[in-house]
This record gives sequence, structure tokens and C-alpha cells, in this order.
Amino acid sequence: MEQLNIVYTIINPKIRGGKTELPGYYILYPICEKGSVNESMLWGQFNKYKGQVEEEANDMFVGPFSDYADLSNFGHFLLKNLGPNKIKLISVDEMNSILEKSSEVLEIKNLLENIGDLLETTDKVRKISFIEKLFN
Amino acid sequence: MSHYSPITNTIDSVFPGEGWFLYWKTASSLWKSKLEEIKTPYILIPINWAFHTDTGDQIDFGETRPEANLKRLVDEAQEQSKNILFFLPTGPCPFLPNSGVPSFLARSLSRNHEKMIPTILDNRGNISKIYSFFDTRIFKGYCRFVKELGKYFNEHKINSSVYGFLPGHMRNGEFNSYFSDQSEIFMNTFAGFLDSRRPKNITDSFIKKPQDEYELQAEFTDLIKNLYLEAASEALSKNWEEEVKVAFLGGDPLDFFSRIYGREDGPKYSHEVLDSLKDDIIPSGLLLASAAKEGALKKQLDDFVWSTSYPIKFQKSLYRDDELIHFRPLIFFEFLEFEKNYKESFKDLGIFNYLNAEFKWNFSKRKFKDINVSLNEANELDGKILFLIGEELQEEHFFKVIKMFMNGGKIILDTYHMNDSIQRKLENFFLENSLKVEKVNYVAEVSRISLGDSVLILFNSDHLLKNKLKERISFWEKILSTFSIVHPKIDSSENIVSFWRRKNVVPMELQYDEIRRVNFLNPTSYKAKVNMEIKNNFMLLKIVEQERVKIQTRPHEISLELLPGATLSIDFGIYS
Repeated sequence: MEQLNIVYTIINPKIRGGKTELPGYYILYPICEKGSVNESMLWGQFNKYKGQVEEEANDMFVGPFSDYADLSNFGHFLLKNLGPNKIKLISVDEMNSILEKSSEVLEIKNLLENIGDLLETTDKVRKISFIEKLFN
Repeated sequence: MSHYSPITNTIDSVFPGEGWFLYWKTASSLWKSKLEEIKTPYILIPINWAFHTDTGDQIDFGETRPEANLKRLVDEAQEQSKNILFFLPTGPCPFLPNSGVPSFLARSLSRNHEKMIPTILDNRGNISKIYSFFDTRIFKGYCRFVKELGKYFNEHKINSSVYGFLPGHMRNGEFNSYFSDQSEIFMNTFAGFLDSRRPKNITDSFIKKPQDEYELQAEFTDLIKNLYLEAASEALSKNWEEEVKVAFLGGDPLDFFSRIYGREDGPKYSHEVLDSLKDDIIPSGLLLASAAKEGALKKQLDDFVWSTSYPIKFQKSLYRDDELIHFRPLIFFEFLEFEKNYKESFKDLGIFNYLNAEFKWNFSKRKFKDINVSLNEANELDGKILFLIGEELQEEHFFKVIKMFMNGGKIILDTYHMNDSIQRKLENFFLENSLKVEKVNYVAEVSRISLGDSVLILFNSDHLLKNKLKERISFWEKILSTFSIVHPKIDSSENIVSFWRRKNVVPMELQYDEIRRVNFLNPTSYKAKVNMEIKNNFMLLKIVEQERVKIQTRPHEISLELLPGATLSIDFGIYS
């Protein structure tokens, strides 16, 4: 498996009355080798897409949840362009536990990559079906 | 032109950029030689609270650690005729370990809007996690520290300026301080605040919509933020200047994950520098390593921050009367704020779509209360077009609005939900002064009242919102075209930066009304073309700082070909 570089973004939790209604989720996906042609193509696509999403989101969604809408669309984009086996999810709690116990960049990278590997073998099916359900 | 020598990357940790000097990162015996290396007239020194106390019992200003001796630092700088400005953080600070909180108080980590621990990477690859300033232990410790600091400054007769310094980052054109928090400790204290706000006889939640909760959270955050600011300004009242906001490039916690994988988003940082400058916020590249600040971004930081932002911000303490020589951001439009954020008040109206396309970085915001209008101070409004939201206008504001109008003000007022009494007063004012009200129906109904140079435009946002976005944008295009703003159109790709600044004329330039400078930067990794039309009353004066650019000039147009990292400035004399 090629080097797992991780890019993340967030599904914004909906907050009502001080309580989170949905947990926040991060999308993680491995991208191509750093500096490769595929990498720049992917980023090019991502930036182009992101611009479109923001433009549409201004019109389509109002209020504090536009990030959520942005992410739903972004999830579609990832599924379409990368395929489900390239998308991985961890929860905010998992992410926070990594950040809380790590004080070094390398440590964080290792832990994130381990989570990527774990998801590859165990939770992938369940989590992917969740993301598809969420985004559809 | 950049006035000052650049800082080399070999001293990133002590001089991380733009005049910042981190005194605790080098031995005090080296301060003298280090300070000699700084060629700027001002040195920004952030005060590192955690460095001055290990346990909280004792606060050290050089008794134990010589590097904590701020008096010696001031003396060394004064011996070299250098002015130092102390920057005292009034919130979590991203380049200090534990965001500046002493380790014995670093107990409760903050959470951002997405419930994640805000984590920041500095220019040396170190991680700083943001701690919650809503922790009462931190507040008590902070109050004690600033009190001791004030006493120390008085006893040692340190007369250097102290600025309160609110660290933050830019996101989508807006400043976000690290103070904002959604952690459990915030929620607990916020619950107490809600109880104090709960109307009598209501036991259930009195918050009807999520938006109300966000607004109350923002109000509570401001309240606590001001407590820290007040504690600092009172303790250091003799040296206190004001609070400044500093936006750190790469300091958005959302940048963290790409930055740990070595990706630095130069074009994004370039835009953030300009977003900060137009809103009077100091941008800082302190979190970025030298390598990430090369090229166009370095040019921006040198030219815009060193030469424009700092002198304007600090001239009170450092300069006499030389504001004429400095370029300031060219602002045509100002949104006047009361309580609500202006982007919230004017959202969906299409005005920002129009301004971002035609006048990016030429609009700003100002607190309504900060406008000081008197009939003798014509320059205060400076020909700017002012946007006002009628819903927030109170009786006591009415005369100030009228004064602004009578003083040559150009005002666009949204009358939706405006207080009936203000509406009546306004109508009476028109009648009493025999002012003609011209009514036009273009997309939405508009009333225009003029008196000499003064213009007042009334519209109703509720009517405007009934139209499609394209029509709303066209509404603004039409309305704003009536003000005859002369501004050249620039045709370029989105990532190419073109930033306009202006300055008053000096005696040898008296044939012009003002001088405008446009800076072009290409922060991307590709070649880009730019075309700019030259208006009739624009006289091309000089082309400066041309690097990696091919220029072609025609009678009414300039064409540029900008290679990656290209920079260029063009000065125009503007005449009537």
C-alpha cells in the first residue's frame, strides 16, 4: 500500500440547545504519493469542486449548517472520484483522543495512519455504508 | 519598496518574522547581539506568561532566570535606540506551548465549533494545543500575573508601550480568535450565563432557534474576553496603548492536518494577508517556516505588513506626523456594525457577491459608535459609501445618521424592520428641509435623497430578497454605479492578487488628488495573464518592484504576464 497521506474535513455537528444532535465526523482518505501527477490532479479537482460547492451553498443553504451541506457534497465528490475504499472515517472523539495524547507531529501521523489501517480491515463496510446513507 | 532587511531563516526561532522577538528562546547574554541584527525601528515582544512562573506562587522577572528580566531587555534595546513594543496576549496564543497557559493551569483543552481540540503547528514543527480561557483558574492566574507585571513595570520605570494582543486566524475573510470555545468548561459557564438571562417565570429553555443560541454564545464569549482585556489594561494602565488583533497565517486549526504533511497553501495565505489588512488586523507569518514564506508571500509580508500595517498601527508611539507617506488600503465601502456582524446583517442580499467580484478588498467594517462626525471634520467619512442596517438603529442614533448625511455622507440604509419612530423622523427631516425624494423601482423599490455631495439611499431588504440572486447582484451593480466610483477593472484569474492602496499627496504631487498603488502578486505555481484598463483620470506615474513580470502598455490598457512568484507595483496619480 502506498504511503497514507491524510486529508481531513468535517461534518459539522448540528447543535441544538447546547447538545450535539449528530456527532461530528472526519473524512480521511489516502491520496497518491506526495508530489505525483495524480496528487496535483486530485487537488486541482478538489479545489475546483470546493469552489463550486461554496458558491452553490450560498444559494441553497442558509444558517449555520452550510458546512454540513458542503460536506455532504464533498462526500459525494469523494465517493465518485476516489471510490469507497479510499474513504475512511473517524469520529471527533477518536480524533480528539489522538490530539490529546500526542505532543509530536510524528506521533499524530502514526496514530492517524494506524486508524486508517484498522478501518481498512474491520470497520470499513459499516462505516462506508454509514457515509453513503448519510450523504444520500 | 521594502524598507527593512529580511530576517534570515537561520534564526527562525528567535526572530520568527515581521519584527517579532521571542526573548525566552535565547540566552539573555545574547540579547544585545541578537537585537543588533534587527534592522527595524520597532521590535514586537510577546510576553510569555508561562515563562515567568512555574508554580504560580512566584512570578519571576529575572530574579531566578536572567531571560525573564524584561527591564534588561528594554535597556539593551534602548542602548541601540530601538523601540520595543510589548504584546501581552489577552487570549490563547498559538505559538506558545499550551497556548501560553502555564503548565500548572493547563487543565481544560478548548474545543472548536466542530468539537475538535484546536491544534496549531508552529514554524519549527512544534504543536500547540489551545486551552480554554473560560477556566476560572486561568482567569485568576492571569489577573495575578498582569497585576505583578504592572507593578514590575512601574517599579523599574519601564515606559515601553504595551499592546493587548488578541491572537486569531482568518477564515472565509473573517477574523476568528482562539478565545472561541465549545468545550465542556465553556458550556458549564455558559449555562450559568443563560440562567442569568432567563426571563422570570420561565423554567424551560427560552432559546427558540439555534441562531439565538449562537448569538448568546458570542455575547458571552465577548463578555469573558473583555474581562481579560480589562484586567490587562487596568494593571498596565501607564503603558497601555490598545488591543490589536493578530491573524496568524497557517493558524487555522483546519490547516493543521495539511500542514503536518508539509502542505502550505501560499495562495490562501496571500488572500488572508489582504483580508486582515483591510479590516485593520495585523497579519503574521510567525507560524510559517522561512521556506513557506518565500516568493510572493514574503513580498506581501515585507511590503504590506512592515511598510503599511505596522507604521499605521504604531505610528502614535513611533512616528510623528508622517502618515502622508504611507499607503493605506483603498476602501470605498464601509459596513457600519452595531451588535451583529455585518456579514450576518447583509447576508443573502447579493452585495458581497458583487463586491467580491468588483471591489475585493475595497470594503471594510467599522463600529457605528467609532464614527466621530462633526461638521468640522470632513475627512472622517472620506467619501466612503456607508451601509447601515435600519433594524439596529435606535432613537439615539438618529441624529448621528443625519449628521453623517449633512456632512457629505453617502449612506445606503436598509429600512426593513426599522423603528417606526425613526422612519417618521426621517420623513419629517426630508419635509422640513424640502429634500426631494426620488423613487425608482429597479428590482426593489429604492428612494434616493441628495443634498450637495450627500446621498442617502433607502431600500428594503425584504423586498430585495424576493428576487433571484442574479437580480440582487444586478441591483447592487446599478445602485453603486450611481456613485461614480472610478476604479480600473482588472481581468485576471481568481488566485492572482491585485491589492489597491492609497496615500495623500506630498507637495511635489499637488497636481493630483491622491496617489494609488496597485500591487500584483502571483502566489500560484503557474503563469498568469492580467489585463487592466486605465481610466481617463489615472496618470501612470511609475512601475516599481517588477520581478518576473512582462509588461505591455497601450493607451488605455496594461497587459501583464506574471510568472510564478511574480510581484509588481504600479503607482497612479488620480486627478479630478
